[in-house]
Amino acid sequence: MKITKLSKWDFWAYVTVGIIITFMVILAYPTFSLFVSGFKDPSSGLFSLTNFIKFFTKKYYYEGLIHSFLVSISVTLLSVIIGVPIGYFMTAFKIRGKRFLDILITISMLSPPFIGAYSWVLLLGRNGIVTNFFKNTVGIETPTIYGFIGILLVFTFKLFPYIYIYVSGALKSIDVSLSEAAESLGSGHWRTVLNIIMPLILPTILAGALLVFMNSITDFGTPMLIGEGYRVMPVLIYSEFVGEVGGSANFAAAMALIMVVITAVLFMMQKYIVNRKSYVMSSLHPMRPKPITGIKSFMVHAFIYIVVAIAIIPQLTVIYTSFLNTKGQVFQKGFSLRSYITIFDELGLAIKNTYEFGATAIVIIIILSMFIAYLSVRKRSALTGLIDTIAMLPYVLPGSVLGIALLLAFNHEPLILSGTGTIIVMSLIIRRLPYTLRSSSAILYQISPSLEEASISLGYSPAKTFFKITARLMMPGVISGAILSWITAITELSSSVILYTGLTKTMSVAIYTEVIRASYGTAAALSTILTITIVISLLIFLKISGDKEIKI
Amino acid sequence: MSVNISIENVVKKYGSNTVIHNLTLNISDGELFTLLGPSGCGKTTLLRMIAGFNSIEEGTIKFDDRVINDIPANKRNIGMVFQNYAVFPHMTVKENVEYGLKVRKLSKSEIDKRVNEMLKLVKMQEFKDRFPEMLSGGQQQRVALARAIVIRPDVLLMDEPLSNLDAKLRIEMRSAIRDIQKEVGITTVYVTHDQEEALAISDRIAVIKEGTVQQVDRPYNIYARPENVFVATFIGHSNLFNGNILLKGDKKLIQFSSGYKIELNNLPPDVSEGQRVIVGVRPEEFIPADDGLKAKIKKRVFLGRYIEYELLFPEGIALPNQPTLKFSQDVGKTNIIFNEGDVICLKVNEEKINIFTENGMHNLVKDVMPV
Ligand SMILES: Nc1ncnc2c1ncn2[C@@H]1O[C@H](COP(=O)(O)OP(=O)(O)OP(=O)(O)O)[C@@H](O)[C@H]1O
Ligand SMILES: [Mg+2]
Repeated sequence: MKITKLSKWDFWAYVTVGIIITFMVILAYPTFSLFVSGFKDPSSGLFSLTNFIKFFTKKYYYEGLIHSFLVSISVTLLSVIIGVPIGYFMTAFKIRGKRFLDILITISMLSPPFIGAYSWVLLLGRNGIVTNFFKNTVGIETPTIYGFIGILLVFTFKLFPYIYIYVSGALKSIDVSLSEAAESLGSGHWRTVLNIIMPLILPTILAGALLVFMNSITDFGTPMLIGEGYRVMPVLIYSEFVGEVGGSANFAAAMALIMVVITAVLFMMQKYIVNRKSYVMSSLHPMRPKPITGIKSFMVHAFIYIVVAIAIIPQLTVIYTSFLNTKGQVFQKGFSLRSYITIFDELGLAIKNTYEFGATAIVIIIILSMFIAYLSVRKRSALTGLIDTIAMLPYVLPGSVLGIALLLAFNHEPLILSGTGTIIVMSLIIRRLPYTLRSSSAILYQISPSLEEASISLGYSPAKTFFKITARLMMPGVISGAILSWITAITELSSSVILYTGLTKTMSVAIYTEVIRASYGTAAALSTILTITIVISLLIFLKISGDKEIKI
Repeated sequence: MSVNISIENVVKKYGSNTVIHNLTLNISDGELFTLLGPSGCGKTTLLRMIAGFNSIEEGTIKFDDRVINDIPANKRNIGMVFQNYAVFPHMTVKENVEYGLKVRKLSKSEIDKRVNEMLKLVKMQEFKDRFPEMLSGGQQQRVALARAIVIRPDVLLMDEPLSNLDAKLRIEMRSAIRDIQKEVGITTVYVTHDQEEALAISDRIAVIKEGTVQQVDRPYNIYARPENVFVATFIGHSNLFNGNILLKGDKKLIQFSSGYKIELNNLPPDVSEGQRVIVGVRPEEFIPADDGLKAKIKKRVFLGRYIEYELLFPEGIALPNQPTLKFSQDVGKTNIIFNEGDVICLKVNEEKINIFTENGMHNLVKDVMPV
């Protein structure tokens, strides 16, 4: 009897192979190069553990790791302390201007952290507005913002929204009857919160906390701009790699590998918790915000508004600063558009690059995401499983690590890409693919496969069916993910700063270099353009997703 | 246009699990053919093999003389109607119906003509510019049916098309489907696990159990002369009794273990004296009488036109492990109503009852009343 198979070389087989090749080139090969490089002795070129031994025996280096952990642990704790109450208040109580607050929180979460760092320098730095005010008018020296404290401030107010969003999401899935039951049993309001609600949302808090930890330990811009000599891992890696004096690519690669191990562990813990926390029920009667009055209302509102104000101050500061009159790098009295004129004259290319690289990356991200989502949701097999696993890699590759990996891989034959826009686009694709990929898969799960089968039985080939039916129905999910990818792509710094050259500078890099050379006006103007782009993108996102909040 | 489907020795495996065993069926041109069986018996699997969405591990499926095993689903010219309608949500009713015509490179006027005809046939012309979200389930299923038929497929496949509809709409839609199917005369394979729906709608039914065909026949025959004990109990209800055959001259008798004897004139000649059999009696085939099988009434349920009694027989009369033993009384034809706890005597209607071999695999009675 003849044995027949339908799974021949069809459209999806070609797509699978295409994606595997793409991933091998842009992801697996660079990661592999990083490994090889990290285990190579810089002087002899032989494989050895020299780099790792050097790292763990020299205080100068291993201190960086300790610093990184100190910063991230503190930031995580502070974010929880701020984020959990806000999450609870915003869900349990009627808060004035909640919608507006949500938008502000989202903006501050999505703005690049280095803008936060830089604007706190503008306010509280050596020559900062607030510092000068206290020094000249009041005669008090304000404590320094540079170093550990500054990093903490920036990260906390930038990252607490993750906890807020996680917690309010979890609270909405708790059935109100549960807490009502507790209260009817005589448990007071705060006791109910502590005994009933907290244990239920604890896993969620933990998952959010790991996300915060991961973000703060991998960020490069903030410690670089406001850390001033407080060495953390990403800064060490960067200066070792690009450093003119005595830098070693191999040693940088080794440190990068140490980072990858840390992020991989964090990522797996996060995934484990997220997968397990599903026991939090989906509720029939979600918590309804209750009105509050009197002193309680005042305290709650004051707390929320102060936190949100601090979180949004950086954006306002840069916008304000961008309109200050300048002469050269020095601020003058009054307002002008001089900073803008300067950037369009001198940094027009950076602006153009930013949108061009971003847009190119997004187009490719959208295509890849839709195909990968389709393969992993609809065509499960060993191969698509492999694709799925490789697509996780970006989660555990911090920006600076990826930058190094790409340079190591593509600065020699067979593929020389260093210094090109292509390599930057490549890094953006890798770094920002997950957002679009995840929302594409999520929406695909909601589309019934029988729609595709209906189309096929009506005479459309699987490929045509994908474009006419599936892709079309996936669009809302894809676009809302793509907007997040887009926002984070145009604000990417940690990999671009390693990959850029004069011709491939982006706005983020330009802001960084302008701040380094103390040209604050131009940096502010650039930041303002970025912030406005983010806000517009965000509004489009909210319109498309119809959701009132962002999923991260 | 319409074709004859022959399914020959077809096997379907999921890993090491064989879901369809060497199955052979012949579905005639223009016929409404139903696959009926309990959940998980492989109805959907078989249907999707015909459609081209499941691979065929062994055997062949032919449309007329054309083997279709290797033809991809989109080239099989099949109309398919799904349980969840699968109407494209981003297209209007009209766009849904013309979708399959567009890929067939027909002229605009031909497409419009066919779409309008079809919308008229399914009584949806007034909704043609609506999006599916503004249609009821029944209306969406009409659109799905129109979309499947308008391409003039060789075969129409329907997988539980009515199971998402409420009871009343289900009855209305099943006669609509039947009418439309007859009007276009298309070979149709219909899957359901609702036996009443199958009996009402089909030209012929294949009863399937665990991937093997138990019986293929017209609805009345399946009900009246089930091929085996499984079919007898799966389609409608059958009470099963132990019995054995007595031969008295040319007369053939069945003796129940209580000693009650009946004479049957529709047993085949090759039965032997003392042969053990299973007697299948449907609830409406009992007749209250002065003698016969003694039974106690355990429970009485009034169902309007019928009264259903749950019976208790003395040990050893009925086969063990039957969920319930039932007698149903036509209210229009009786004036005695029994009470719970009464002990009554029941005769059986000799012409209607079925006699199965001892292993329950075959029905010894072959004759069927013409309908
Ligand atoms: N993709 C699959 N992989 C493995 N086993 C499957 C798959 N699809 C179906 N099966 C198995 O094949 C058997 C037949 O399934 P099928 O869906 O054909 O049943 P069905 O008769 O349509 O049932 P229902 O009335 O519940 O729809 C079941 O035991 C099922 O578990
Ligand atoms: Mg089924």
